[in-house]
Amino acid sequence: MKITLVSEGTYPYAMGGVSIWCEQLIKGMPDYRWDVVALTVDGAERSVFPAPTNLDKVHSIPLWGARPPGRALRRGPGHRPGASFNESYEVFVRALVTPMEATRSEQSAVSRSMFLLALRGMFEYASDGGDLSAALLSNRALTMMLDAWRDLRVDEIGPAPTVADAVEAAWLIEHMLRPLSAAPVKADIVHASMNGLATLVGMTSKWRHGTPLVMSEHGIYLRERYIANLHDEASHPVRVLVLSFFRSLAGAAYLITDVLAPHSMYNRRWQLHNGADPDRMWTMYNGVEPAEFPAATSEPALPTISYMGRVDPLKDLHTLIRAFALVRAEIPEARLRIFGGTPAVNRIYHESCERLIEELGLTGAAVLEGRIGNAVDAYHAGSIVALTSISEGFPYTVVEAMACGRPTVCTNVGGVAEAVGDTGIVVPPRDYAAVAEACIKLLRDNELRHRLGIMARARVLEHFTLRRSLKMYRNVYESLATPIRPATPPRHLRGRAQGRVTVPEQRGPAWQLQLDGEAR
Amino acid sequence: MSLDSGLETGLGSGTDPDGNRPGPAATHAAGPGEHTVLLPRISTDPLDDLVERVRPTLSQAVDSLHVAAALEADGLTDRGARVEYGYQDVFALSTEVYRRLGPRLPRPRDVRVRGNRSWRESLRLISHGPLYVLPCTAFPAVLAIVGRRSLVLGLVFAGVLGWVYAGVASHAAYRMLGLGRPRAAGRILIVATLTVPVAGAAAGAGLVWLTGGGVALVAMITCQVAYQLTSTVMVFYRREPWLALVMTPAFLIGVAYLILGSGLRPWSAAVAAGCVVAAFLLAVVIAVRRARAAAMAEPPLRAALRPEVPALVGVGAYGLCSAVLLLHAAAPYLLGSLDVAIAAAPLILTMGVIEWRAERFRPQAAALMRRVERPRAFVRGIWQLLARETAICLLAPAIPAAAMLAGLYHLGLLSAVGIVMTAAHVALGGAYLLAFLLAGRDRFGWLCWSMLAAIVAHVGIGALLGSAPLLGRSGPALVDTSLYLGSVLLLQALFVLGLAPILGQAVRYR
Repeated sequence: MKITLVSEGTYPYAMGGVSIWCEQLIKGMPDYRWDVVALTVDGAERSVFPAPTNLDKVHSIPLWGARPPGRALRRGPGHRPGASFNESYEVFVRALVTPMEATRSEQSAVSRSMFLLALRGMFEYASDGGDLSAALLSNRALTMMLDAWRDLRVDEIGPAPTVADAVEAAWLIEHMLRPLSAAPVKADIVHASMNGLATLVGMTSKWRHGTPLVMSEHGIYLRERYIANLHDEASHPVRVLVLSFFRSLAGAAYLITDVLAPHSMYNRRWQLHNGADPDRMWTMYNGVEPAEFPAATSEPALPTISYMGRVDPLKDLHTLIRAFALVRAEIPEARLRIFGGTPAVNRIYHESCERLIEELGLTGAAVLEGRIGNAVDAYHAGSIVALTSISEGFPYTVVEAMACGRPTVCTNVGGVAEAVGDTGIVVPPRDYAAVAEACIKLLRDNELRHRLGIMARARVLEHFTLRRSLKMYRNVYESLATPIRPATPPRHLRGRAQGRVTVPEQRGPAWQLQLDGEAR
Repeated sequence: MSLDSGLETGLGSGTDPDGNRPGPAATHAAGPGEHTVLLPRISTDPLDDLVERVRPTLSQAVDSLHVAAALEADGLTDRGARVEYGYQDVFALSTEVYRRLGPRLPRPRDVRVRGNRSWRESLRLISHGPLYVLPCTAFPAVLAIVGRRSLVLGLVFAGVLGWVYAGVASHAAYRMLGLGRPRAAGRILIVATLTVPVAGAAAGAGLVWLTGGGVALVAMITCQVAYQLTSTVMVFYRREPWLALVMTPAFLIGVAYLILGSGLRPWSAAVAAGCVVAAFLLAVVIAVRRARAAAMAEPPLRAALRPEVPALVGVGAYGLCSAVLLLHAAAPYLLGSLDVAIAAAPLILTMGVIEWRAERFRPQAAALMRRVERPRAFVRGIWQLLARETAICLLAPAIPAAAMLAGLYHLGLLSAVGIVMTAAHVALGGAYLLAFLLAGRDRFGWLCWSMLAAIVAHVGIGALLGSAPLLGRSGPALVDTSLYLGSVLLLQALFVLGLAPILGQAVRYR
């Protein structure tokens, strides 16, 4: 079986939880052949993972560099987009501009369907040799965008959007829609490792070849876009259009996906709220290989809080450092060791952490250790392991720390509470006093710390092993790829679907999946 | 002090707007005034507290999901929404918070004020014209050394070579800089600067071998191309004042030679050569230091340049056509009457103004885009802007040209041919602005074909009319120069035609 795994900004060009999961998936199923489609910045990225033997090819679709490969423009650069583009774009842009009422309303459901149709229309336009990028950035498209705003946002106060606003929004959307212009992938299954732009690759393959689409969501893509946008300096219309694009795309992806795999129960809430079908959802937890994360047999000489992960604003290390200042006031010999690299884009945040450590007089006691060769050493270096993120999916770092027999102090975001259960202490995010209190409690109470550490490893062995995770995904793939008896559609549904794409091959309905007895 | 006593004190001590204290009788007669009492509303709804707490962060939220994401990142859970606020979950609570946040207050529009720095930048660009003219005062001495024929040949030959070399090098360097590769940019400029004297000397030797002229001609060509690359590096690193400083002795002694006569001839040529060498070395040092100062690792230069090759070929061809366009018409007259020979001087002197207006075109277009609300209005505005800027670029050389023509008239050196030739060069000012705008959009093909068409029209029609000095048909010079003026106007029209499909595309000014 050939599976195409789609990633955006992760495997194989960047480290992180999703990248590790991608590698686990490919290496864990050596009997399948794999391709990877990576949405990249400019295609010049270098792989940071050694290629597994069953990985045939990595295709890059640069979103910001040269045009996507594999598609020649049959219409010249001066060609004006005709009705085939304009009609789809009209629907597309109106879906973006229409103010959201309630995501669970009928209007929202209709809007998601229309948005999906509009995406397909634009894909067909690009497939027929149209220059989608040029069409999206044409003055005609800008006019349609501004007209839609005037028609549908009459209640808006403040200045109307200018041509500059429309250009900025269209420019961002054009880059994000580039996967629609790439040649659709050929595979037995397309598996998007996250929602958002990665799903466009699955959509085109489904429209062209009828390939089933599986989508995993580790975190909630849409939620992270919203959080990232909180301090965006772009104008209001640009922010509305871009965030509406992400919201509509996420909703459209839930519509078209055959199997949706949230990686925590927490994720389901956002997915259901944005139109996901509960009958096609199965929660799949991340798993780790217990042998690779052996239980620690000793503790550091000094009471130590360990953090393992990249230095990133989403990890809210400021809260951890502030909490540690309170811990040190109570336990002067305590140490905080922050392990993990800093992506180039987070250099300023890294410096702000260093400054905060200095300002709070923690120099020498709290240390940004940088990248570490073996994560196990980072977990073993701490008496406890802390994670104070403001947004998470189902973080490996927590599960790995638990497998190492370390109790954790974590913030209640994403699937963290589901992972930790009763083997650690979960506190509200950004509440450094609560983090400090939990750390002090665990560092002072040896019996509690040891007991929770043993319970943590036991919980991982029971629920979060790699073998279990891989088995569930294998079941998904097998069920989707095995054709079942062709059912005769009712007479009124026979014939070709609208558009220029043949009706996809009938495949096993999602409800027939058996996923290791896992509850939906 | 109690509130009551405060009110009493306030009434008793009240003053009118002029600060005059009213008398007791007046107060009594008017009685206490009626006014609306606004008491602060104190809400007992915890949701109002939440709304006020999140308002600074979420006043610009775009929808209720935006609020939900922020509240969750702040620690709110479904349980919290139920227990603390009585809503089913975070989403239901967020919908209400979003509603209570009320209409979004617009952020003030970004008002950009031109500061001193931008004026300095403008002056920097305008200074390029005089910088190009600065070494010209050495030419009379050089003329006396190498002879008229060799000087003209050398000027044309070195002009074309230096133009192409400098154009390709600066385009590649700016491209690398735009990609965030300052080291690659520096290396390109170093290589170009170090190799151009060798290329100039070799080309000069070839020219001497073919046409005669001696070592002095080779030296002149070498110095001229070296100066062109030197000025390219200095302009790239914004070191124009240094270039002006280093070249000033050459300028002064050139002027002194013109005034004091032949005794200073060897000095003028030697000082000019020395200044060029000094500026050249300075440029190399600057480029080396700037390239070394680049901290980030960059891909190999060859790999970085490979995708740029087609554009660089276009730039080279564009440079070649530009040089030929300017020189093919002027070259036959450089040995003739003064008014025709110096017809290009006003244009060269004000080339900096044209560069400045071309540089300012994009910011002005972007500002227009931030003002208008319809693409159609933008298109109208951008064409008006183009018309205005073209007029400025015609006016800029026209003013010194008028002064020059007046001076020549006063000296009795002005002819109709000179007037037409000067007018043609003034018209070239507008054409260069349009050419810069086309080059900024990588329309090198159109640029080259347009210039070739203009050259062919000039020479071809001249040949038909028996006045094409380049082809050895020495008909009336007025016919030839008039045809040149016509060809420049044709060139302007072709450039406008080339801009027509792209000028109004708003996205190009993002």
